[in-house]
Amino acid sequence: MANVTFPFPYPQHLELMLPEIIIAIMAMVLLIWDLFLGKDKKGWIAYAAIATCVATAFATIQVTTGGALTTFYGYFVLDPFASFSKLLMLLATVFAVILSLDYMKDEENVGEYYCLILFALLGMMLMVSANNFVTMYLGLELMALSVYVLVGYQRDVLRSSEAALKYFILGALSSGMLLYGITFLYGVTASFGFDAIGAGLVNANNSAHGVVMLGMVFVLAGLVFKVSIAPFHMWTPDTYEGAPTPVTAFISVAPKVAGFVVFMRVLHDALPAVQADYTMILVVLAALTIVVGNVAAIAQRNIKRMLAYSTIGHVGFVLMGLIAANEAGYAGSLVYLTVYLFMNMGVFAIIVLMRRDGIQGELLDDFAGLSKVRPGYALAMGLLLFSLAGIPFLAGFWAKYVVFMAAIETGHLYLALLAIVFSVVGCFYYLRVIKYMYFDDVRIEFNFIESIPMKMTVVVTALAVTAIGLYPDPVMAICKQALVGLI
Amino acid sequence: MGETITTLNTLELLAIPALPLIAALAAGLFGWALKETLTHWITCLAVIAAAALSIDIFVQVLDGASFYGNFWTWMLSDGFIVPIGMMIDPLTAIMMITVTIVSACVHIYTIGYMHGDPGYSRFFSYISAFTFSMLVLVMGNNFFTLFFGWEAVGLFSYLLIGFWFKREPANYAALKAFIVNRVGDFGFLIGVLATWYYFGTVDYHQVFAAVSSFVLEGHTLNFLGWEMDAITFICLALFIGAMGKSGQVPLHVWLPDSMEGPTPISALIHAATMVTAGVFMVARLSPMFEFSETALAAVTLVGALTAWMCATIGLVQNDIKRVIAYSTCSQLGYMFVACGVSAYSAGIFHLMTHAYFKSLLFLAAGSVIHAVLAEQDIRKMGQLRKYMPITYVTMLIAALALSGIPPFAGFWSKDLIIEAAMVRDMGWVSDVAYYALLSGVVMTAFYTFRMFFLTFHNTDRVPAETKAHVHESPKVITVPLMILAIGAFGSGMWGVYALDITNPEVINGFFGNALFVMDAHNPLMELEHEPHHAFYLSMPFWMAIGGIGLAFVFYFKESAMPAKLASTFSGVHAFLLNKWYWDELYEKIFLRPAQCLGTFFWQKADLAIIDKGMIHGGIVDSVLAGAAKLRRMQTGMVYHYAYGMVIGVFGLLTWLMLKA
Amino acid sequence: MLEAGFFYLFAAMSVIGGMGVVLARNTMHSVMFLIFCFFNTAGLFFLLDAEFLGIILILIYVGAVMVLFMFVIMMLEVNKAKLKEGFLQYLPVGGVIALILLIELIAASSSGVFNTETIAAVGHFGKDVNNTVEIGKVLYTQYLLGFEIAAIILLVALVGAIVLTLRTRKDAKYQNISKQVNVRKEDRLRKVRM
Repeated sequence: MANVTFPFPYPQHLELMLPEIIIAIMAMVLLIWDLFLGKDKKGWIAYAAIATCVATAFATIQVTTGGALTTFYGYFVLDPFASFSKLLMLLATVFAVILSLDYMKDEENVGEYYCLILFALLGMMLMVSANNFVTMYLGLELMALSVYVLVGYQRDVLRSSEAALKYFILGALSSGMLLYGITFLYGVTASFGFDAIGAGLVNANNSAHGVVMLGMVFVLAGLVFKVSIAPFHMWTPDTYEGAPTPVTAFISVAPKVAGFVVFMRVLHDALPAVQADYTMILVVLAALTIVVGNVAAIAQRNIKRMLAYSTIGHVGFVLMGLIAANEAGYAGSLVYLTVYLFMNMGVFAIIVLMRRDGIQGELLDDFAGLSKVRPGYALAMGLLLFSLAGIPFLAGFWAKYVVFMAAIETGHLYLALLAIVFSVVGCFYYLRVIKYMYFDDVRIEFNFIESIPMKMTVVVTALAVTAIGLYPDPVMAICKQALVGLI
Repeated sequence: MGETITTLNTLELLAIPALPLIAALAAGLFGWALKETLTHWITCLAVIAAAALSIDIFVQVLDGASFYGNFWTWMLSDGFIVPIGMMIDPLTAIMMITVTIVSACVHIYTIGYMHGDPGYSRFFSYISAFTFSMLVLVMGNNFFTLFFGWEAVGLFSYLLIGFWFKREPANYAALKAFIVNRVGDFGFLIGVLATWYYFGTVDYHQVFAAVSSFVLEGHTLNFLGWEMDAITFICLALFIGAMGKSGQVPLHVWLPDSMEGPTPISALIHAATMVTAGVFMVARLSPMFEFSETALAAVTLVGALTAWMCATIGLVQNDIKRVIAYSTCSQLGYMFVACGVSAYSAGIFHLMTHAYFKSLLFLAAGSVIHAVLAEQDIRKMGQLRKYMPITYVTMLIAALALSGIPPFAGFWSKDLIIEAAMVRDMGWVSDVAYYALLSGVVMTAFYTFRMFFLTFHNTDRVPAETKAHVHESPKVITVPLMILAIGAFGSGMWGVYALDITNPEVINGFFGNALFVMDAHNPLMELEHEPHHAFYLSMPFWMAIGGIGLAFVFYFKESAMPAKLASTFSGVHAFLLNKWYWDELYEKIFLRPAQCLGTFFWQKADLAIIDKGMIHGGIVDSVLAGAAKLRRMQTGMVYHYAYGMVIGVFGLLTWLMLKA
Repeated sequence: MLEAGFFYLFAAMSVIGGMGVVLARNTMHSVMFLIFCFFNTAGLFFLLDAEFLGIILILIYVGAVMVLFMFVIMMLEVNKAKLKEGFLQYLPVGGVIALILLIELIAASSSGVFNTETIAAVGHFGKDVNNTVEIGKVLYTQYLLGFEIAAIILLVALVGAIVLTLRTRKDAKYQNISKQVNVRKEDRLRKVRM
């Protein structure tokens, strides 16, 4: 027999993983607790999930230090960059759970629903703390698997199942591409760690160029799929439309944050040697994404589909920060993601609020005359949409401003011009909703969900968008600080 | 950034503009839920509290306290730093008490005046928000806050003139005010931007500190082929803004029309506060204006012309509010002359006294209008003193103050301005100003008492059906009148004797370093050297007495003389009655061509090129077609999507390989 | 030499297996090809001294996963004709793309990175090296985090599968035995005063 020493050396500094450990344990505890709760008391699980997120947020802040620390034999890194994105994802999760409270009340297996959200969150938190392809890939799969189930949660709704299946198949394809790409990078550098790969690629000889390109393209393909960048975006509209609305809200924000954080780490740590090549690719992808997202959104009649394309458009803008690839650019992308979280969550909260008798207020026409029935909601929706359109002085304007400036300063003037032109095109479909709300007559009777947490969500998001718009400096400063660990 | 100097409580300072703002938001956003009573309680209390705090600040400033500092930086973009901060010195403090006290009186007055109006809470929201904007304007420590306040007060002025938006004249008047002010504001914006361009900062202290060396360096610029000093350019541009805001010729045309708004607005915005912003600005920026002789001459000339011209128009107007409105223009002219001849402290002094007596005049006029069922024509009034004694007495105080009869407030400040204009030697400019102002005094006294006698004396011409309603106004209206009457009576003596407001002898006198005057031409300093004379030796005093006497003869009792005079000089009378034909002139020069141009662009550019050419068959169509095409590409088939992904990877890879 | 021979044999067979999965007309045949491919891949593992992985591959994938696949396919009625619809339509473009991709892959891989000069040949381990133990050692130390995450992934898969399948249909009537047993007479019987 081989010589094995037991016990194995215990991983040092386990406390760095405290947030993940809390989430993992609580998700499993809730899974069991759910069995003992009566059908009318399933709401407790949701509140417990929110409490878990809050506790995790505190834990995250508690364990964060100024620099980068690793644990689990160097396979898990905790730096302000990871912590900041974890806080964003926790916030998104809390919003998503609040949105689900009434929406999912009548579904079966509600308890597991919230547990799956927590597992998805766990996956994303591991992703952003990954400094190597192993942890990253496993976190990504954990997140993806949970989300596939969440998307198809309404089994009785055909399009929900269809959406889940499409997302699953295409997700598997993209995972395959990602893994395939990783094998090439591993082949050249014999390492999974981002930093080691980065160093290995710098030292790699010329003959490896083709293989590196292969690896890079496949890895990028796998990553851009998750953040729905064209032409890997096509799952997005179908999935957004089919998924239960709170899940749509969740996947439109949280996985994008996780995806972009991983994306930044891969680009900055693992692929600096081929920056010229990946910049070229990303410029083309960003341009394509911006055009496709903003133009296709115009033709949509369903607001969830429209928001799917809007997400694609916004993702294109976020990508510009990555193309700039300097401090201003990465910070700009983080600002964008932060602002986008509030804007999108607010809009989706209003969509959820407008549910009526099992049918969601999903068609654009449904918003007709909202200002006459519910002026408060209409005002909040108006603010959020104006912000999405990038009207100054709302948060969305600054988000666009910082990434555009970063792109221009790094010499991507034409991309920025294109982005500006198409953000103007994008205004059309946001303003159309406002037109419906304010200038058309009421067509349908709604019974709005009267729930205080939901109303709070709407108010908080609308206020946040306005406040950041009036005084963007703190958010920008925090995002700049959060880059410690990446840069 | 400038150093922070704090001998005042920051929180207290922040509360002064914050209270009206919060009250405005509460009344504006939740007015529908609040009852009328609650709305006016909230706003009135907030403004009264702001007034009390301002007085407290004023007292501390008298003891030598001051404040200078930034609270936060609002925008950082390529070195363009916009700090938001405050600068509290005697000039600011005196503006603060004036603004908040008048505003508090107007708030209380409004309770009675606007009672039952459907827009009750909206009105309170607007006036509180206006008070906030005005406070920002005066309290700011840089050009940006000045600009913000400048535009915000303009906005609320527009909203309030057009407050009764269902009345067509009100809408037109609001538009006129807004558009004319745009012209001025454009100049103002150029001035602010030029300041930033040349000095690299918008902070008052930094700019003022750099002015003298800047002038020595001799920067010039070529403006439309006209070579001029940079400092002159900046000052003139800023002064164009002041002309618009403060109703100076030729941008005065909006001010009389603004009387379409509710009377409390006329008192607050178009007499006491907003229109004086221009004067305040020139005084605030005295360290810049002092370095440009040209700019000072322009200020003096424009002020003198306005003072004289508007006084002539005021002689023949029949609308009670319009008489006072032209008087306001004219008095603002006096203040500008004071600034132009470097007697800034006299200008600000007149600003303060004018704020009290002119707002009193307006509010009293409002009380009259209220009593006679919204009739504003003084030819349909008369003998009202019997019905409304309090209004009568308070208006008499205001009229005496405006005419410049000692010991009422107006005398002290106006006398000082005229003397300063006499003493200051600017060649023909100061001579013109002096005689214009002096003749203005006669006219001022005449039109004021013409209006006064026609309203309260003369014969009773009130129509029978309204007569039944005529009565003294309720307490909420008369109490503010009485408070303001105290100011109209005593603020002049208070300024001269208690504050020693205009004494330039002591460098650390009341205004201290807040105003800057070059020693080379300081008219007040020269006046100090001359022996003081009693009021009966003062020329303006006798001019005013003469004006009042003339009015007495003409209008105290019904007489045929005015009509006879008017028919004898029918040309002059028509010329004055039609306000020197300014409106007609503007219509010919600007309105018609603008309309033609607008129609041209609408028909040719908008309809023909953009709508037909670009939308149908251009950008919009191609975007829509693209959207439809993209929508069709989204087939819903998984293998199509997968196909897309594979093609994507293939395309990128091939591109990279071919490049390598 | 013999080793190289077996390598090419297994490699070629797994490629053929992979092609078969895609090209076979009968779905059942596709599954069989996949099993064939797995066997050959397992062979490659054996050649690399990774017996444990090879056996696991056969046990889990061939023994469990593929059997499940077969059941599912047999239960579903797959319309073969419809499945092949449009195949020819996409063949030209798809074929060209696949071909060019293949050329690119070969070109990149054979450019000299993966030859024996740059990567030193690793000899075989001795008999005393137990690769199950060796895998265990790295799995429980270096890759412990990944191992834990994989465990949670499996849990999520389990929960997800149950959640999506275990549900009471609203349009069908079910017996609730415990409810039936616990029923009291007051629930069923109502006394009416006449």
